[in-house]
Amino acid sequence: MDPIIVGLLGFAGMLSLIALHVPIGIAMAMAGVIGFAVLTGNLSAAIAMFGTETAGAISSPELVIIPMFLLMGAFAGTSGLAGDLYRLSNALIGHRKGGLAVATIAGCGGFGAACGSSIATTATMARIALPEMESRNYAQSLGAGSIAAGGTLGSLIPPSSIMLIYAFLTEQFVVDLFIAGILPGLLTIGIYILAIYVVVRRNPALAPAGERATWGQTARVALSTWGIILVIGIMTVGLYGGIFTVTEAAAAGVLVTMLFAFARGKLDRASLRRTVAETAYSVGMLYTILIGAHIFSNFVTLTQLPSALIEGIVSLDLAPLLVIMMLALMYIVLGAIFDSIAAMVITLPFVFPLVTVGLGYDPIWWGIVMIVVIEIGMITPPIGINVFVMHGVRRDIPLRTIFRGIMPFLAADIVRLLLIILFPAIALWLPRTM
Amino acid sequence: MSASALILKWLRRSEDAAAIGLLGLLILSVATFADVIMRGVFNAPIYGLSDLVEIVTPPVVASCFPAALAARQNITIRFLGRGLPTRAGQAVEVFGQAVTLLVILGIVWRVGDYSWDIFDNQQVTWLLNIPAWPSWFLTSLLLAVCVPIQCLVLLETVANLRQGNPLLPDHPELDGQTGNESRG
Amino acid sequence: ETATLRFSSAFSPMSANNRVSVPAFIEAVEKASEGTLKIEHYPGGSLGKSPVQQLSMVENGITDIAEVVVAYTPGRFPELSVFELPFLAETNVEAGLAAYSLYEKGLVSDFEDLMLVGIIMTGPYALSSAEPIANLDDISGTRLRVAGPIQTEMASLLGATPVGNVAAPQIAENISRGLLEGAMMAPGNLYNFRIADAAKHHMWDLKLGSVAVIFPMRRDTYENLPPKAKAAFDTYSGEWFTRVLGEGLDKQQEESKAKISADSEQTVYTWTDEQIEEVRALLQPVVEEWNQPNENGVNLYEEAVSALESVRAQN
Ligand code: NA
Ligand code: NA
Repeated sequence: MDPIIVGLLGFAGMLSLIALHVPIGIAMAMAGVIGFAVLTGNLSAAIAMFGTETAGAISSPELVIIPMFLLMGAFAGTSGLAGDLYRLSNALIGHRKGGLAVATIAGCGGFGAACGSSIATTATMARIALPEMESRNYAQSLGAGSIAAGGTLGSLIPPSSIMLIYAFLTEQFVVDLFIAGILPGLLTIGIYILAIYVVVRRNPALAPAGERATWGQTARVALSTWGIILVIGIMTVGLYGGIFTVTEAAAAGVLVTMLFAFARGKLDRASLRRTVAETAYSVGMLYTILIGAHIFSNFVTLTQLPSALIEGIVSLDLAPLLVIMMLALMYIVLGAIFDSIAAMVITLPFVFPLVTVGLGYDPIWWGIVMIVVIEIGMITPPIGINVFVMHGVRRDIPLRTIFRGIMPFLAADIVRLLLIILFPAIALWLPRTM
Repeated sequence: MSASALILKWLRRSEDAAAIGLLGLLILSVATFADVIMRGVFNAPIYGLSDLVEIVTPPVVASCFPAALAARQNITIRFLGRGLPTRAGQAVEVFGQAVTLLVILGIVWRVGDYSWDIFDNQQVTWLLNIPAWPSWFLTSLLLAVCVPIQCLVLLETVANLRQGNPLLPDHPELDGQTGNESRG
Repeated sequence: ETATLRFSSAFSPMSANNRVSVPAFIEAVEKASEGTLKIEHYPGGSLGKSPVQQLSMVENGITDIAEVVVAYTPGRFPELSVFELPFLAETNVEAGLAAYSLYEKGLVSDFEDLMLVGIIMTGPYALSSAEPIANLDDISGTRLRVAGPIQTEMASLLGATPVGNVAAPQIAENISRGLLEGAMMAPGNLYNFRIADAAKHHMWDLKLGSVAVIFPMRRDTYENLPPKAKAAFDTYSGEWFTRVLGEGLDKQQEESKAKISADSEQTVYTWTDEQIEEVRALLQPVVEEWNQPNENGVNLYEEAVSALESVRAQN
């Protein structure tokens, strides 16, 4: 059978399994193994991927940063450190309409400056920010949407594990990419805030204004936030001051937040049990999806689907800017149906030479564009990892509600993507001047 | 004892397993941080830290799978089952849980085999030559715990199908003690 | 009838191996097989991302040939570590061919079910640093990234502080942020991992050993090939492919060195013969550990030295 047809059947099979109540990671693994067996005629090799991909993922020293950041997030929640930041945000801008959603975006940016993963940023901020917004009667869609979208700042604002993967695969200097990500990250924060402003203006009931805090109250709240500021400070100074690697920053974060939880007397049997359970649930869920995505993407590789897509694009012989736009669109579509990082890894061998050698674009700029597009894929339905993580932390909020909350941010994302494509200087000015 | 009560019991046990696993993560964090201090202050990084990472990481991550499974934390889309009549919805749910069991069996079998290979080939850690098999045997054992848990989950779903119970709201377990009342 | 083989690598499609050498091998074998063999190339981890699992992937038939870094499965193929000793090989080609001849002599264990399609001995390793490295005093006390027990011991003997747990793609970042001063590194990889952007002082006169990367295939896969495909393998796997791989890396190494020498921001230090002899004496204890019969009664160090001599004599 034509591999491309098997590939399309594989996609259909995976989506059918998901519809038939098979958990997403499991469905990807199953479809991947069956498809691999069909294409290679080697069932035992296909089944062996259960072993190689699981063993590879659970022993990866790069991925173990994710459980660390999740545990840190759980301790930050248990200790009340995270809540402190929101009390301050509330005191400063909570009385404005949408103020806490804006603070959430800024908080995601701040946390993203210390954390290399948008998944971990989403998971942590979901625990920290959502209860605060709910207690102030924010609509769940706006609250969850701003966190899932804001979480993408974890990858765009350095440090970033996706940037590490891109730099590794394309042999670029990762520090250049890190620096190139700063302005687009700030731009994203600005555009997201604008999106919140527009949404809240159209429907003020989504984000009721709170009472204005007195100066005395604000000062007292500000004083109580020294803990969380210390945590972010240790991680940021540690990372940029040349004291920590990303793993070490995560380890330091776990220890410091745990010490705060202990010192504040928040670590009893019950809270410890809850912290452990929460972390274990998220770790188990995330690794299942990662393993499933890896198995499925091995199958997709064999189908030649990605290269067929690229060849189709090249054969059209279009203007460079149009090709870039089409590539961006293709990644959004690919990212909509399966794991976006896998989409990048699979297509990079064809796309990178096409963009940098064929069309003559800057590899660092293309890296930033790719990461922006990938992050868009992480919040688009039906498969948006950040939305799933959000849902994983808060099972009572339906996926539909979160996806609805994402929409304004998705519109903002398209604007920012166009800006970065049309004005490459947004990404390249800083690394070139530094 | 009903399947639900057994699942609860296993959920508690698997959370204990996860607690021990995450203790490993704490140890890893302490060692990593100690390495920062030793390197920065005494210019003497800990020799063999990467061996510790190598040994501790797989069981730490594996220890989280049983708990996630017992608490039904793997993201599942249940639009179809909710749109169908009760029994048909439960039948779809049985299918989903059965496929999950199959994949888990595949993973346990293949990772177990991989661990055996590591034992058979006498693989060691990179710097200190510590045997790698105990860590991988423990990892396989932790993953194997997923099998009885998923069997119980499947049994419970079959019981729900036979009794014609409606599909539960997604993941009541998350509120702590768990929505077993409605499960019967 | 056409047999199809999968050739996978967890490393970048832009690496010298995946860009030049592996395609050259595939082209040669396919052509010689007269249509009985097709080899699909899957670089960049597209058939399995974990570099650690590549050997397992070959053994289980997920892929047929893979790029396997021996250091990721310590305890397997232990004999190949002998080439990590200092002052052995001078080029990638001679190191690879010498290692292949040890394999052919049956001195490398664990190849009962596997055959070696080709082998790389990346190196020789040298030093790159963010600070000047004009003499041993400059190296003393610096935090040096190393890979594996032999490099660790060499760094300690040189008076440096060996730092072992840094993955290659993270070296540049760690040097630029001051966590590391420098790294033991094959000069050919200075641009690959962008290390030259962070470490602008280099010294290539010490030959600090070569690190093994193998391309294994299951013997039964080979046995089941059509006769013409098998004959094509007999011609092009082994020495031919090993030489192509080595030449690719030597070329990359020369280009990399030339680029650095021409760059006014980079400094290359030349050490005197006396300095080199001093280091040779300093590193002798590492060599002595290997310069004795192993459990099978084979002195691997002597075998490696004589294999290198005969390779040099033939070339
Ligand atoms: Na980040
Ligand atoms: Na998506």
